[in-house]
Amino acid sequence: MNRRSFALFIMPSVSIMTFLMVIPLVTTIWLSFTGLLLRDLDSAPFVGLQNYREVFADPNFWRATRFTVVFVVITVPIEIMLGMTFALLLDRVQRFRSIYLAAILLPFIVTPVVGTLLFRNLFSRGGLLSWLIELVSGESFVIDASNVRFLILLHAIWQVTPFAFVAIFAGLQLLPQERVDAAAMDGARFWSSFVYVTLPHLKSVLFFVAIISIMDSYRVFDSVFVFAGSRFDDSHTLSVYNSVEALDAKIGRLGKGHAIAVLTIVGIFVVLIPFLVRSYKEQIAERT
Amino acid sequence: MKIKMGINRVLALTAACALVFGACSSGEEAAEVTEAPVPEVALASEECAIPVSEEAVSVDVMGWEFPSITQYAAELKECEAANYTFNVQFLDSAEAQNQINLDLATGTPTFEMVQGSNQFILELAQKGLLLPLNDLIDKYRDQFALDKIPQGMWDLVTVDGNIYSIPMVANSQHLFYNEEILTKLGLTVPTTYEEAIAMCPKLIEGKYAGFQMMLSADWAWQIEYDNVLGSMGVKPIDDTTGQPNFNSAEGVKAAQILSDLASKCGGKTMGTYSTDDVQNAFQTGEYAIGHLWASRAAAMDDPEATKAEVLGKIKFAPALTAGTILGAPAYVDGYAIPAKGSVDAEKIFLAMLGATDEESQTAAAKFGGVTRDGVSNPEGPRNGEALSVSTSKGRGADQTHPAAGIYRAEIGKALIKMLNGVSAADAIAEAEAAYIKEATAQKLLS
Repeated sequence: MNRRSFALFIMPSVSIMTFLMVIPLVTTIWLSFTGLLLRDLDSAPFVGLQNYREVFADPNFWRATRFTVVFVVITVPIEIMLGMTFALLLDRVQRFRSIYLAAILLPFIVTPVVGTLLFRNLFSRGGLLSWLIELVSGESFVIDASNVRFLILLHAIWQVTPFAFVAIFAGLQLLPQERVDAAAMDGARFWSSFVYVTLPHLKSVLFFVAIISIMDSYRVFDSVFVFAGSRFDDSHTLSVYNSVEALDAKIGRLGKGHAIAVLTIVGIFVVLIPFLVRSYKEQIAERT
Repeated sequence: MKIKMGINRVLALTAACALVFGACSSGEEAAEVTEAPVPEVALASEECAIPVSEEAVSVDVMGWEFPSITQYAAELKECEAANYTFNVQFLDSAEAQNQINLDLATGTPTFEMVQGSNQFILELAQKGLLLPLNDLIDKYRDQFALDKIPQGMWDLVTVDGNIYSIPMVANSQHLFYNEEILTKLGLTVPTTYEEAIAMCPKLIEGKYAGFQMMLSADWAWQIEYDNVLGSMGVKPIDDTTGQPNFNSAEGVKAAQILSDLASKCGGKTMGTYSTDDVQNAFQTGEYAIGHLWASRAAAMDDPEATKAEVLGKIKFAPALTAGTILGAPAYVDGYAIPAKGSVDAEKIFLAMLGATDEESQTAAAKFGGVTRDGVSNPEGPRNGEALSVSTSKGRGADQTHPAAGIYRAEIGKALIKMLNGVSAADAIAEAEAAYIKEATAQKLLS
């Protein structure tokens, strides 16, 4: 394919990417250096690094950064492990498979904010799980500082595990049966077969699931916003910190909000760099 | 993913707006109306007495719902006979306010009409996001008997002489109490916050919840705090300079009163119940006494939603005080028109008039306070006197200084942490530091 044809083929996607990603990103970076306010959108005075200085000096920013990292580190491995477990179990089931599949996917199908509200209602006063806890412990259960982080993590695992499950399950369907049979004939038991046959086959799927899950976890918003609100600000993630400290309509510090958004993007890149480097090296290796 | 989309939308919309800065017009747009007398034209219906539009008019409305507002939304639907189509959307109040703010800030709003309280409407107006309605009001004043709305109501939606809404719901807060339970426990209706806190041990001993109010959201803490502070005659910030008054000894005392209410009366439910939950708790007999929005009074007589043993037993009394003024706000709700909208403002305004005229307000009076003199509904709630006294002797409307929004955000965020054990003094200190930092950064203090 000559360069001209190549350019024509990629032009639509490059144009769309430029319009939807590059221009907003560049604009966001530029606005992060301005004092843009919601109540005065007609002027965006250049303020240099002031927004960044303000954010870096705010202990709430560092607290939100810490909890965001903790959130990613805890939820992503658990989601992948649970997704893998469910996928392996369902792979062995033939009867009622579609029913199990639908049941496992349910948290992923429900509109996220609806799922979050339903999940919260389970633990609210009068909710089913809160009632059960009360029944067992004899004490009324309310969401408070001692359990709000746990509930946020639990909700994330409940909601995102189906994504890991469905990707891994799809990968398992492509695993050639003869490889599994050959391993069995060589005397491999479940664990050996899993480690030496299944896992290598799923490597690229797991890589994909990990990257998407990390990005998704890093920018988590709805569950934290719903569970923590303003009351539990030590459980805020970076997205919620941005919403509460800058983008709240009553405050309307859009310049500062853009600075936090830029720092969030930088944070995602820092977390993803090891994965991206590894992916690049693998692609180069495959070509050579 | 609605909320995630909200965040993305903020970034995308502001980025897009920045790109077209050059094209964004500045300054307020005045309503374009002619001085010509109103022509005699066919009216849509008796329920919505506005002229039938020659071309179809589509109106997207955003707001938040309570019984009176539901009725006004139904009144808007009646105006579809005038060749209008209304798409009325309701969200949770905080989310609706965020959506409206973001939509209007783009400069090309998709909502043709927004609904809100006077506090919210004035915040939008101060950002230049709403259309002043003075000319339109003058034009239709006689035809729709707008003088029946008292000047005090208009003042609540006016900034610098510009009127931004037609007041349609009169609202405040006052006491709700179950007379039978109080009599059984030998308790009398309190008039001060101190008395309310003092009655809690006896209520709790009698297996009832202590004195209650909705304090599960930061904005609710702000309103209740303003009530207590206002009842002492103190305004949270200076009307002219924006300098804080809430950091005074009275400010800390007001926070301490709320802290005591939460710790000595609230129990676990105070930090978790929404306004709907508090209303339901009265309707089921869980709550014996508390402070609630007047707009919730009609529900107490709803036999489908109120337990038979409670029905008719919830009484109403004026709000509490910590000084000489009642701890009750003066609120009105109304519709407003975004500036820079794409639909003819006069057509939108006519729909507002049709949905809030005397006939509409009479229907809405069944569910709560209305704004026109002499309008009532025989099936209306029994809280008329409590509402009237609380409003007339209360702390009045929220402040309109440009920094007031920042104050409200910061005080709410700080005070709600008292539920986690933060002291009143620390909460006020935190709010003061955050307010001064943010208001200074936005150059709003003088």
